[in-house]
Amino acid sequence: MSFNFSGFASGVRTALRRFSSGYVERYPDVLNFRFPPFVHWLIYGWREKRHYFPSLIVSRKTLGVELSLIHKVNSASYPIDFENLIAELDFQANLEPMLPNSSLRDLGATPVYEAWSLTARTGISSQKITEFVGQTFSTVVVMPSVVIGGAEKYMSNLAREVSEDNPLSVLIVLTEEGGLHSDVDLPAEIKWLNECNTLYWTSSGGFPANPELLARFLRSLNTPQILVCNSDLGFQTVSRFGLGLGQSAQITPVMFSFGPPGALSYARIFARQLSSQFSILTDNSRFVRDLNVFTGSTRTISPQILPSLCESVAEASTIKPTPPQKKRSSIKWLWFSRLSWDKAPELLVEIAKRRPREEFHVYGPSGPREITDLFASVSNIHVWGPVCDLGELPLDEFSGYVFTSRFEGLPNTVLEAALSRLPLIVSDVGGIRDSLDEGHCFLIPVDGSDSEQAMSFDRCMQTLLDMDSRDLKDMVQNAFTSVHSRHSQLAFKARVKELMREKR
Amino acid sequence: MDLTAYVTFHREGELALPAIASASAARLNASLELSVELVAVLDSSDTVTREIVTSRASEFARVHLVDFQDLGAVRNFCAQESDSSFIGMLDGDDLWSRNWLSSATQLLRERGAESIVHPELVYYFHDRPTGPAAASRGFGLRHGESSSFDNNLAYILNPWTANNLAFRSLVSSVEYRKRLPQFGLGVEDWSWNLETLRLGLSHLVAPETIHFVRVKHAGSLGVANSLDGLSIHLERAPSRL
Repeated sequence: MSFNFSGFASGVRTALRRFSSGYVERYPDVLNFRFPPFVHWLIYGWREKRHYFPSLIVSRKTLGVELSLIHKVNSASYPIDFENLIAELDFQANLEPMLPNSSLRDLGATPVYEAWSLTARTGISSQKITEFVGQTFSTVVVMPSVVIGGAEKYMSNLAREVSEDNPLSVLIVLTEEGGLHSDVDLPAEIKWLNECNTLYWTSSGGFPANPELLARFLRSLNTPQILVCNSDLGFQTVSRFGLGLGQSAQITPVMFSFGPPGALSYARIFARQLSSQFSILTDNSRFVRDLNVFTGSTRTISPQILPSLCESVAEASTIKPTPPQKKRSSIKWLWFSRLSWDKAPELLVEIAKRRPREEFHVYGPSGPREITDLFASVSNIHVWGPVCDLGELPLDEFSGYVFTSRFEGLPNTVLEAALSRLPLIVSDVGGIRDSLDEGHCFLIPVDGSDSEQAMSFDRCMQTLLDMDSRDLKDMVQNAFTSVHSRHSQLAFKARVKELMREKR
Repeated sequence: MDLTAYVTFHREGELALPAIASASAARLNASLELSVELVAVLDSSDTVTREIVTSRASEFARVHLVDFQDLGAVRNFCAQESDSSFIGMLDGDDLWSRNWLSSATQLLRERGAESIVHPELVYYFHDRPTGPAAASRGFGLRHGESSSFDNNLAYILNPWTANNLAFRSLVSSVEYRKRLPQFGLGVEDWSWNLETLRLGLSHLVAPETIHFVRVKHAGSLGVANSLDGLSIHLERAPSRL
């Protein structure tokens, strides 16, 4: 027995060519890529969940439908007239040999399901969906879960504004396990989401992670606005079915950053496809620049910027400026952020080692144990745990706010610190420059090594401590004014109104 | 003529043969009680399908070659083409129990013009592999009448297959929607089912009738719709049904 390698190779080439044309037809942006479509799929396509092999998908899907039917419903007691079925099968099998006749199997065991059975047809085991199907909502928000985070604050403020502060007119579809946190754990802005209608589209909630089913559900809703943020299932749904969904609702994907280089962020996976169909909403201009570089295409629909609403604005406008004090018995610095590696905790450790006589106070939701251990290894770093907002802290004790993060959209904590009139020493990342520049704070470039960055932080902290109090007061006031004008309730309302008008 | 049963073809090839034979058996059975004709409509069909259907032209009262490239448009064409009281739709690669046309027409006569009739059972069979392996994979779906379940579920799943039977006047007054991939819309039979539900029309099932549907290895319209990301048409904003 011999194997014809050249014939095999030729067959593979032919198959790839055939699939390539389908791939390009389905994803025309691939034409902008300088290499063959298959190479595009190898480098980007599979990560972006694009389909290159249509025939495999067809057969898998066909089987998937059938298997889910057979295994999910017990048909033993189903009252079907099998005698009639067998008689007809025997007759029709003479016309169509692919039909079984009564000699081939025990046809009485044929599984039969109700055509309107949600579980049998879709795998959805929750009846909760029926209370929402066909209902009217002012806004539908698809997001992963409700936890403490900038994205949640942003979405909550946005939904609140769009719905004119009517939570009962809003439906929140949560697509990841974890769901809502109790009110106790959440800042007031995010608590508002807990008052909205909520559907847990999760496997434990009885829903398969199936974009087509979520699309059918969303299509059934009478809503002018569907917002999608940070949800893998949500983004998959609107990237595949958004065109049809967009016939009855405005689809708005919300994204904040592309993440660190090489990271598989939602923006990297979905932005190219979504930006050719919808105007992506973001809170910072850095994302817009990155998007333009990433898509590099004239097919992109211009994204829109809606600067976040900073919750402390209202109260902050009444706070008396508290000039930082140069001379303190003990110099304290504030680090207020989620404890995660992208916030560069190791950089804070470097800085703390350079300034051993000063104290660094860390507040924020806990993260990996390794970070806590890392901080514990340095005696002048004190970890205090989570707080809802800066207002809970003794701010006048701190000489400044240190922000070491390596990538961001537009970090809320920096805005809140500016509104609390804390002097800022922050990484020059994301969209911070939309609101703050060198006249407002110390901006540290992030392109150097850890030790170079630590040196820059160290230098700026010393400069801050040595500053003339009037200059320092001016800088802090400038930061306050800049953030206040861009992130106030008034500015947010006006911009949302403007966006809604443009979209209409 | 009481009933015109339209058999629609596209690129079925040799699968058209059992479909024609099955439709003819159902016609023969129905002709004992009513005047009934079969009409073939070939939409943008390939040469093989055309040759096969033409070779069986004697089974049909008429054979139409059209170029809509759209199932909704074909069904609308059928509603305009006929002058019968009732019309039925049969897909050119499926089969039907012999009592389908007669039982469905009888039920419509009893229940009136505001109704659409579906087969009670849809039996899905595989066109490969052959023999016992295929038989072991067959399964059925039982259609329900629209009064028997929460109609809002019809947004999430299509409760009935496209092979139905109704008064011609009803089908001509509620048009099927075209496939509009440029707007992400399609799925003409599901959209039509939803629209008729919204209009308050009754969907009935003819007892002990069967629609045999081939689960295709490739080229299934449902899968194509899904891969193309098509959503259902809605005549107006969605609302509770």
